[in-house]
Amino acid sequence: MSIELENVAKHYGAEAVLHDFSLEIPQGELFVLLGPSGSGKSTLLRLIAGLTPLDSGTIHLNGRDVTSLPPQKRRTGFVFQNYSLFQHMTVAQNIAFGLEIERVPRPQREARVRELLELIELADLGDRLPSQLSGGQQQRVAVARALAQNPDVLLLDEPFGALDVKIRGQLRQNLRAIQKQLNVTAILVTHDQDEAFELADRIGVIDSGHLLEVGTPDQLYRKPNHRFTATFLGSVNLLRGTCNGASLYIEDVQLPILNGMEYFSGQAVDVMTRPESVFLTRKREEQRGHVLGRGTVISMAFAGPMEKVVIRLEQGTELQVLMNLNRAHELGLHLGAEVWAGVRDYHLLPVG
Amino acid sequence: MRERNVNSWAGGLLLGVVLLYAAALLFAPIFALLSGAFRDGIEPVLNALTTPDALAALRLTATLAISAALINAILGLICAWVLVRHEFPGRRFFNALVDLPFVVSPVIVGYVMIVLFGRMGWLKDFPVQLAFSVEGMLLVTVFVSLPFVIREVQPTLAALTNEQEEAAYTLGASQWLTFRRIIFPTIRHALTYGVVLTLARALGEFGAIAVIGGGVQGATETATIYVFRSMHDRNPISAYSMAVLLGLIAVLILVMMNKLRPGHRKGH
Repeated sequence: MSIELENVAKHYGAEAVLHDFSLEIPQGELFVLLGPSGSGKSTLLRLIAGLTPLDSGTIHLNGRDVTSLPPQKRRTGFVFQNYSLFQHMTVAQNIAFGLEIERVPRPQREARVRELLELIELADLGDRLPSQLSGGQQQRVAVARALAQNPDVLLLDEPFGALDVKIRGQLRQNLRAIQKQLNVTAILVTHDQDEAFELADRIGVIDSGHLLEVGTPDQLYRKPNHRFTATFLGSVNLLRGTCNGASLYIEDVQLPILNGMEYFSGQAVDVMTRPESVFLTRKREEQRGHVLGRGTVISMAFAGPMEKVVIRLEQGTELQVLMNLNRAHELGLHLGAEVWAGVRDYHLLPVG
Repeated sequence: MRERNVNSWAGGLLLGVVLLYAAALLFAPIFALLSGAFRDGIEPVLNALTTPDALAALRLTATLAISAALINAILGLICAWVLVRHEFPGRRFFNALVDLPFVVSPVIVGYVMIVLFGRMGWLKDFPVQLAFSVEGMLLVTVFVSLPFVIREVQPTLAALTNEQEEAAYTLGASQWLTFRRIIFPTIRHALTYGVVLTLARALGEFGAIAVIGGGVQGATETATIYVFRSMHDRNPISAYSMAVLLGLIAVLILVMMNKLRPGHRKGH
């Protein structure tokens, strides 16, 4: 394991920021820690880098116990949200700073700086000052500086937070490519689920200092274990129901139970469906999903290639639906239109 | 930059006021000083400035100014650091107190020192003799010029985020190395500016050092006190000459300040 956290806890005063946090990350993985602001995710990065002392627990990096080591000895590369480049040094001097401290001889140092400048595609800008670079370029320099000494782990604290949406996508792809090429283990902290989906090998969802669950983006999106995960990762419909050994009931609608749902037998459950799993038709017999009932379109919003529709079922429940624009036209949807709603994929969450 | 025509009568009036103000307060005294000093050519000026008393006064002024600048460079840096980086009870109070030397009359500063350290003073048994001594004069000079370095350095230190230091730590830099390579280069400019201001203030000081030093000719007499005494002794050439020299130094410092002024050198 490249990173092992065991029962790590941190309090600021009486307030607990991290509760009993345990996590293992294998070599070469890009792990995204996803959570709302104030959830403790940045604190965790600072604990790993040694910038904030922990209260209890242990931290191992590449098998080395670094729990009581100062930040200078941990071999972590840290990318801060606002990059924190040294403003009075050139780009090349920024990248070379750590190598100089390690007393790497000048020829090797210069070669390494050139190599990193090429890696971040800024080969010609080594002599510029940070203030002469764009935000995106500064961000790449910060990554190069953090990677210069071949750290055991790369820690990135909201590295795209200060950039505008247009260049974020490009930079994410660059970062992902660099991380895979160097096979460096990385933890990236963000509150942006799109960013997490696009980058992560695995995502850890954190809320109020608790690591709720860890999984691949697909797992967490389709089969989360926590209501928080379900609602934090995109839009979701949650319908209260009950489960017996053979069927699922949402009011008087009966749905078959799917794989693994026996676990909830005899319990009240929340039936979770993503808006894109809800299927609308004009006639009941056209439904290819499991029919939930009849409803009326109460809102429609254009969202690029998709249409966001909200319908109200006869029994009063509202359902969010995401459908292809063409499909919406085929159906001739308009406000007040009567439709049948069915679900093709659903998942159960414990109530509470 | 926007240029405005000064064609309205109101604009003309304002310009007139500025010119009159400058003429009365700046140009007239400079003219009077120079014409007074060089009335009989340059030789009397040089003679006046090379008398033993004049040389002693200049030496003392230089000693006091340079020592005060050095002391305040170091102590001011430490004070600024503590005021920006440390939370402690009474921090706001201490921060406000830094400006005290700006608002208290230097004569009062000197007088308080005499009251404290004089022959009848509360601290008359203090191991270093401060009343009527160069040490005492240095102490008050340091005091009256204390705020400059602190007030110049404080904002640049505050603008430096913790994260730059933390970035240096994760790259392996010790605290001392981080100070030397990351923090100091950032505040160097403000520090130099503060030191130059301190120097200027110390060179021109009169009230506090006159009171605590007593202005003993050849011993505790500085250049400014020398000007004052020469005037009283009806020795105008000595007063004029020393005043011209001090004025010249002041102009040099003014030029330096303009080159160093924060913001002038941004972006190299």
